[in-house]
Amino acid sequence: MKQLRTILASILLAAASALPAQSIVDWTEGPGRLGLGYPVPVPVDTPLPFDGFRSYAGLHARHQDLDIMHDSVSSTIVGQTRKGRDIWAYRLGRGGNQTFEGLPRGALQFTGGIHAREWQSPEAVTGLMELLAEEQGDGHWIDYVLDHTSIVLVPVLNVDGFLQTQRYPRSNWLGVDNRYPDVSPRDGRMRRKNLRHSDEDLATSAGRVAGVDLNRNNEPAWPGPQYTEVPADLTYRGPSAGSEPETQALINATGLGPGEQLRFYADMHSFTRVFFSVQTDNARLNAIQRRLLAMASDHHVELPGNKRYVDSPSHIDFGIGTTSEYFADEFRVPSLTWEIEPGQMGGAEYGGFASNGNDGFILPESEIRRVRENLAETMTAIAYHMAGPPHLVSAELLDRSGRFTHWTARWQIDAEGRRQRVARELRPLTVGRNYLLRLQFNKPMRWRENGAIAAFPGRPPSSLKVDVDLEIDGETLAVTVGPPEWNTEPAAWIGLRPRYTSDTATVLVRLEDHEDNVALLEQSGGRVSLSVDTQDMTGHRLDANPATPAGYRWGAWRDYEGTDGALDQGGRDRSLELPVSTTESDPVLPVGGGHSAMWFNPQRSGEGWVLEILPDQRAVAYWFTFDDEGRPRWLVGNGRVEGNRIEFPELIAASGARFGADFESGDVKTSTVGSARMLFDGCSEGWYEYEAYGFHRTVDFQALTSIWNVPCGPAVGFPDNERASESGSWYDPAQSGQGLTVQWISPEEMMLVWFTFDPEGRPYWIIGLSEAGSTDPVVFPELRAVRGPVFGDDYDAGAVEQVLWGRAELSLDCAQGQFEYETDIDGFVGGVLPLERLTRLSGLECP
Amino acid sequence: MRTAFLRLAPASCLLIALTFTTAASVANGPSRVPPQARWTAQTAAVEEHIDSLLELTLDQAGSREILAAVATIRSDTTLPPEQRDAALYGYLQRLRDHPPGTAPSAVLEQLSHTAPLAVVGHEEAPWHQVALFNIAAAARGLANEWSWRDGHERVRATPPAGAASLAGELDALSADDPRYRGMLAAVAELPGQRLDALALHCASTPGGCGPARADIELARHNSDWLASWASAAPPSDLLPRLARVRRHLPRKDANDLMRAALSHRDRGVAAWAMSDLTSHLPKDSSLRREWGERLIGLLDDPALGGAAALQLARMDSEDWLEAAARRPLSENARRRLDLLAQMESTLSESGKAGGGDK
Repeated sequence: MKQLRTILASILLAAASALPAQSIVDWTEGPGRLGLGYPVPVPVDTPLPFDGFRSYAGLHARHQDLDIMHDSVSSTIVGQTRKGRDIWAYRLGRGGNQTFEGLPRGALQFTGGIHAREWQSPEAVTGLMELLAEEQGDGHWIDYVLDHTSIVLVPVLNVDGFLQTQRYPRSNWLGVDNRYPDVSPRDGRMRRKNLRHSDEDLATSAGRVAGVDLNRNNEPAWPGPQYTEVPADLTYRGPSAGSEPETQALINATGLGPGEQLRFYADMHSFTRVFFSVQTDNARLNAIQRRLLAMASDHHVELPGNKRYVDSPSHIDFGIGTTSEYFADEFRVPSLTWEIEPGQMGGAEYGGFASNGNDGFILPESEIRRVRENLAETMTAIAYHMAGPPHLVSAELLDRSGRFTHWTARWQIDAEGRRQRVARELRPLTVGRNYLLRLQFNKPMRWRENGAIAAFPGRPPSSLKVDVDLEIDGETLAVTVGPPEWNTEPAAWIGLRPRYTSDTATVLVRLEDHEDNVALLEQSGGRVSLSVDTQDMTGHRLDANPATPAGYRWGAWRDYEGTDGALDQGGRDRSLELPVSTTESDPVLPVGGGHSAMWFNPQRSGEGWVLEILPDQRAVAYWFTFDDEGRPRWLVGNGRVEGNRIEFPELIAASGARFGADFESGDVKTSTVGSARMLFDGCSEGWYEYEAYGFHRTVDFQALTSIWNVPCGPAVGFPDNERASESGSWYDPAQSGQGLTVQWISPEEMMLVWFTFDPEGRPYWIIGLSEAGSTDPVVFPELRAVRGPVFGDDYDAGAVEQVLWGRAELSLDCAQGQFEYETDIDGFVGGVLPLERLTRLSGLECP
Repeated sequence: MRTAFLRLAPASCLLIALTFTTAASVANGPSRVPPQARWTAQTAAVEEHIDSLLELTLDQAGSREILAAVATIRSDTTLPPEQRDAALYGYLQRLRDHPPGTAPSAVLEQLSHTAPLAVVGHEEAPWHQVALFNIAAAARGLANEWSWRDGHERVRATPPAGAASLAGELDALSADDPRYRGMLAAVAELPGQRLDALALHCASTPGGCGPARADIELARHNSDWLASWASAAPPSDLLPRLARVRRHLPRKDANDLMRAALSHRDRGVAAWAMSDLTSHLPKDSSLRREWGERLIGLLDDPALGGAAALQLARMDSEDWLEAAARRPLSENARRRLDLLAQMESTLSESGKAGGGDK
């Protein structure tokens, strides 16, 4: 043994005697001691991405500018460096810490620039920021990620060190490293650590090898390997865990998520092209992480350059003090040290000389755009995946033409954070007939290449399948299902729930008129389960039970139900039932002129709709209701009639103009506050679904009136329609912004609703019924204003207070008219409105 | 010679850099060795193997013979795995001192697929095995280096009469080919007469010598040609050349080219040129103020406003304050202006405008 030690000592001595003098050596493009084989990158003070590396000033300017230009970006100083420089963190996401359903929004954190010389890292994190900020509004996965996650970015943690490398982009010391003095360049371009006990002058001897490795300074594995205790070592761990202000800043940044909502952490490094993932004792977390990184790897290799990352996991018990270990341990999330390319070949991968093993830290400028853009996409894929699993939002059964709705069901969040099923049935699904089944999901489910549906890069073609069945007590019925057609644009619907391209699939469905089917149906009481199985772009199957919203907590998905025993992977949704029949049902009546009427829900007396069906399958609806304080509110929508439905993509609210002589059309401010649709079952019943002012509700309604001379259903002809044609909307062009809608509900009576504003410019509506038999002018002896109930779920019909507002006389002919009114209400004054026709109802021709 | 080997060998030991996952092709898998093996592997026996391989190569042995010798070393169980790897690695590093082609390409090709016999833990992940001596990277790197040197020499040594074939070769090679890079590096060193001949022949090749033509015209100081080319060149071709403009062109021509690049359809190019122009601002205060005013005017530009703000931060405020006070600014422009003080602290010492020119 002694002899062995002597030999070893002599070898080490020989090595020491061969040590070169300490010297500053430059990286060069051509052959040499630090010959790269490609131009030596030099950072540029420019914020916009290019085929090269940005200086810290350029990157910071870019981050700050994205903050200025995009509401979805916010910035925070989370600490200071050793040298007192600010450390910035950014949060990307639309809205607060909750999703539109009030559920915790998943957070993901990406850290860059921990090791100063790894310039790929801040570029990659900035690339993600650029992709999310600048591509928002895609109506697809970028919008989905911004709507459903908080992305926390620390582009450059080790600001001092990063600046030092950029101050000397070509130069570094050789002969000073404690372990590999001849070949391991230190300080200058190859500085890795922070600047603890270091100055910023390459020429001085102070601190060439000093500093703390910020990726060895973390709980719980600190102090880590013994050699990290040497202050001069490249991997010096620092005097205590978390000793460095940069480490503290990183922990502070997590609060932007916030930390308790964190679902993923990656610390971007270079190089090796590998995921150094951290495993814990939580087997479910390990499995989630493994699947996630497999997806990311499979995706990335399909991108330009075809670079594959391999996952190399290790248990946290063998930790060395990295930030990824800290996050895996503290937050129980998939966590990794992400080593960006090049891989094992270092610079030789790009035609470089590999004359020094450190050349892999110097990515050629010609590669960084691809690396930045590809990584941003793969990081986004991870965010899309960890934002949450897919689930069914709604289903709708339509006739083969797609015009007539027969059945609908949707999930609606309640105050307790669970979802309630809201279903409406018009007709049962009849065996032997073709239907369209429209399935809406909570996220964009499909990728597109040049507009056509394609498997997400890295996913197999089988991932595109949408499996639809009808089942009775676990027995699958014989059903023919066509291929899915995915929506090419987000649904024209404005509300809390964001809509996306490819979030809705429509499939043709036919329940076969087959004796086995009939036998099963006869035993079932006429109801079957709708069974749907598919997966999102990155491989998540459906949350089988949307009633319990899926979330992430302590290393696993919570309430992410499956059907075949596999945890955290979802399964087949059988949560919806629909009626079926073996016999033909009555046809569904299309919307026609006869649906022009006032509609209301008896339990919500006091509010209602005035619906006008216009020619050419158009409609106008006025919703007279109340605001959150019980004051009058009215909304108007222009709709499109389709079969038994009317879709109102925009519900518009108006305010601003003052009642009376001060009325100025220019004061009217309109805003789109939501969307609505109406569905009708026959002439006098139906429901409306709306999303506005924070509510998404389905409300049954019925016709309160019917319009004289416009029959519902097949026209039978009414010869005396001269006055009936006056029904419709009227306004004074000089006071555009307010108007009347009138309906002759019999030859003797006219109903009037006046949509206007109060003296303070708030919306106001007035309603009246004409004196029986008064026709020219039509006299409204009592115009009434109403207030009391509040909008939405707390509506109380008993709170309605009617006020006698005044009286009016209305004279109309085919195209023009006059409205003269009086009032005793304070703030309002009487007056005259010269009127012109605004709408003409379908089925009522003016002679 | 021993000293030279000792100087080279530790290069392979940079665990963080020379990753090599365990290769299935290694019979029985590689041996895990302690990090100190980087020192103990440097023995006289290893030196002898290096010398013998080198001698065989310099004697112009065929690839089969050399690879047989390599295989013998690989299978020499009298040596521990790390020494066998060290021998091959040392051989490759030693070859860098010799002319391109000294070893047959088949030898380098096979060595570039050689899995290590000795591995250690990755610096960033001790459980992840990496090569103690990264033979594969060294072989690939050497092949690249020889290609580079070959290309460099090809340009340097080709007489004017060979310009046509040279142009044809430049036309055919891809931009990431090491040989091409070597050729481009040599272009800048050519005398004017040969550059003229090369440019002439490039003009008649189908691809016009691709982006290499810009390198030739840069070396020829042909500002007019460059201005025309730059207006539509793709950013990946244009920016590496713009980065060298200041080395080749007189200040005025360089400035003109950068000003033209400000109008490039790619905003990244425009921002880059803006940065260059700020870096090379003249001493003349009126010209500096003129530039400051132009930048203030760009603050409203959605794409370039951030770039303008950064360049203002690099300038003395006296060069633009007056313009800022004079001009009505939008909300975004105002916010960008507010960032300037903060941005200044992010600049390295070299980041200030007109460094050395003022």
